Amino acid sequence: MSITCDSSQTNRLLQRVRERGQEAFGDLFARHQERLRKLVRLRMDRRLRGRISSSAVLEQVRAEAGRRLPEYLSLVAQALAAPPVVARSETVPHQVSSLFLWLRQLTGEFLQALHQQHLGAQAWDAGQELSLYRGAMPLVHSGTLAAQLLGNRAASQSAIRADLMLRLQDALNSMDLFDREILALCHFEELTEAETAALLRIDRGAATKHYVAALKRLNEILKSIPGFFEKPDR
Amino acid sequence: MPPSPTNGVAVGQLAAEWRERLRKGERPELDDYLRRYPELEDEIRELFPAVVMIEELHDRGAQG
Repeated sequence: MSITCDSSQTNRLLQRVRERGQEAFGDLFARHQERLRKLVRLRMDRRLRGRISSSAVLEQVRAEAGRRLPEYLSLVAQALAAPPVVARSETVPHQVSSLFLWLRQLTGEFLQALHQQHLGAQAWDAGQELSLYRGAMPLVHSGTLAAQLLGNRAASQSAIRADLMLRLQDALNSMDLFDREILALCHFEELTEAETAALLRIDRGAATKHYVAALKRLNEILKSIPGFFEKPDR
Repeated sequence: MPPSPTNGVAVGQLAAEWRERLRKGERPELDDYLRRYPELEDEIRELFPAVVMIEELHDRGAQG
């Protein structure tokens, strides 16, 4: 799905954008839109969700990406011109040249700015984007992760659902931030192994090991919550 | 060549493949993986059902 560090693909992209301008870029953006929407739903602060739709966010990101497209194309050109030992690395060039990862980064920056604008000092993870990601990217809140994992469980029994939600959120808060993020990337944002590794600036083997460790930890947590594995409401 | 059972990479790669197949709408069989990778039986039995559960739930949860 993503544009990789491949000169023929890049040339086709350049050519299409040169010939058709924003229309061509719109087609490219559409290819990645649903995964970006998952990111927005996952990482936009819950206090803003009733006020700003994911579609509105994506429209703004698309416009911004269209304006900054020359910047992306320049990054790709630099990656292609880099010495082979760097250009063949599994991590940095992929992040630089993957259109999806570039769009994902712009979306994260947009969300971060939105949080600051609307929530200011109340933005829950202000200052917590730490060194995990290269730039601004709101971290996944444990409450959002808990809601994703609960799905329709006990949907018709609000007290039971609320109790499950609290227990799950408490348990998720005990997880390492890195573990929570890698699960969010692999499952909820649907990133591939290569994309996850590139984003976290580690090699694929290390990313896979981290994922397995995080999945085991999550599995233990879910098993420790009474009632979690009971059949969910349909 | 079958993945090495000596580290978490092997089962992680299989779990990623399992995840991708579920997303494509396939219904991969646990027994098929157990037959092909008997040396990873314990980890496959432990982790693959969790992957299925998360994949089944998260899209519904995302609507909330």
